[in-house]
Amino acid sequence: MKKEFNDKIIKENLIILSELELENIDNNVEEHKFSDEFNKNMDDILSKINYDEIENKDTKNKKVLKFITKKKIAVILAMCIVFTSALTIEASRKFLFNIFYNVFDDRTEVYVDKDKNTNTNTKDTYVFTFEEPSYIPEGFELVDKTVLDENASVEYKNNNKKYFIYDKYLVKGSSVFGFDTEDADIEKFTLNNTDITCVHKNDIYTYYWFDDYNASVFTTNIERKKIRLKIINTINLK
Amino acid sequence: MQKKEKALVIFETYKNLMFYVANNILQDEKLSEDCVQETFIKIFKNLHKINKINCHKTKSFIVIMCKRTAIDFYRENKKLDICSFDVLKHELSVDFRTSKGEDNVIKAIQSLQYIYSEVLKLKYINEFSNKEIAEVLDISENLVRKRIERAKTKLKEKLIERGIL
Repeated sequence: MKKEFNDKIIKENLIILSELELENIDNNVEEHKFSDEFNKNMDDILSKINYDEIENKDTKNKKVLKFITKKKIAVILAMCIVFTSALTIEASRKFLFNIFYNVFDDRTEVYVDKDKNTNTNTKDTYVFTFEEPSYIPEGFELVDKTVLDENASVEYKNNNKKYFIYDKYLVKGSSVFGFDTEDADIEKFTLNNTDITCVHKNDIYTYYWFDDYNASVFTTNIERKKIRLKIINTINLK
Repeated sequence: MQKKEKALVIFETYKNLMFYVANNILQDEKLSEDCVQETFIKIFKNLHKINKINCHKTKSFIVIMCKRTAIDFYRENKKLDICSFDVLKHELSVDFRTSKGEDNVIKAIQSLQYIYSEVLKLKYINEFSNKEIAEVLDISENLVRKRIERAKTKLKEKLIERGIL
């Protein structure tokens, strides 16, 4: 009998798996004689750590979060960028998007909707393809690659904890992309005739853009702008 | 229970388990002790996320934190060129023999890469929000969301391949 795929199934099986894994670990754990240095360091940490400060910080954060939730501003910017210019220039395009920005105090949600005036079935006329960046900075290694029928991604990392992730999603119906934009720097620019938005927060740069069929997101903590743009520039943007 | 007492009990309860987890990955006792120490500091910063000390949920959380720290230590210590990370990440899932029969859903979850099972466990076992997961793993909330999304997509693919869905 075929099973349903839902959160309940995932949760139930994760719990069973986790219990088995922990049981296995328990069966193998032995008493370890920790070094004097370790014991001394831990004594210092346990006696000197300021728990009240940690607790106060947590409480303060919770209050702030509550406040933000209450102050949530719904649907401000918005509306139908629709790639109108693209429509007039290239009328043969079969898929257009409506893009809505939902701006909150702490995040921005980008809603991408297939234009209801377009009746073409995307799946029949467009085949999702994924082109990886052809420029990979020295020292970076591929740590994850997923290529599915309607989305794909690659993740590269180096030994200095620098990473970059490129995700591409075929937009069917409605999709939403959330970006943490609280106190973030936002830059919009054009590269290879593609409008790109960059959200910069806490040393993380998130670039996103759309083509006629897909949404793409490039996330990295590489500091050098030249390197970031060089990688993006080698992705087939259109 | 006072914070300090709580931290002490967690330390005494889980220090050997954490050393086992760390040493299983790092294969170096000195480095594993450093890793245990580093993990405890992270746990103390997230002390408010632990309600009951002796329970499956807390043990799972501590193991995840310890594995994550050990992986970071592994990456930072090039001298520990034991095997490539690609090899290592497949060895991180504890091999077990289940007495409950071969459940394909569990096997599919187990076959996920560690970065995916890690976020799924924190979300579904510890019931953390994306923001909380981001805090404990020290990654962005956006990355957490993506990993969960990808984990579910990959899991679904595996279940379809195995004829379960």
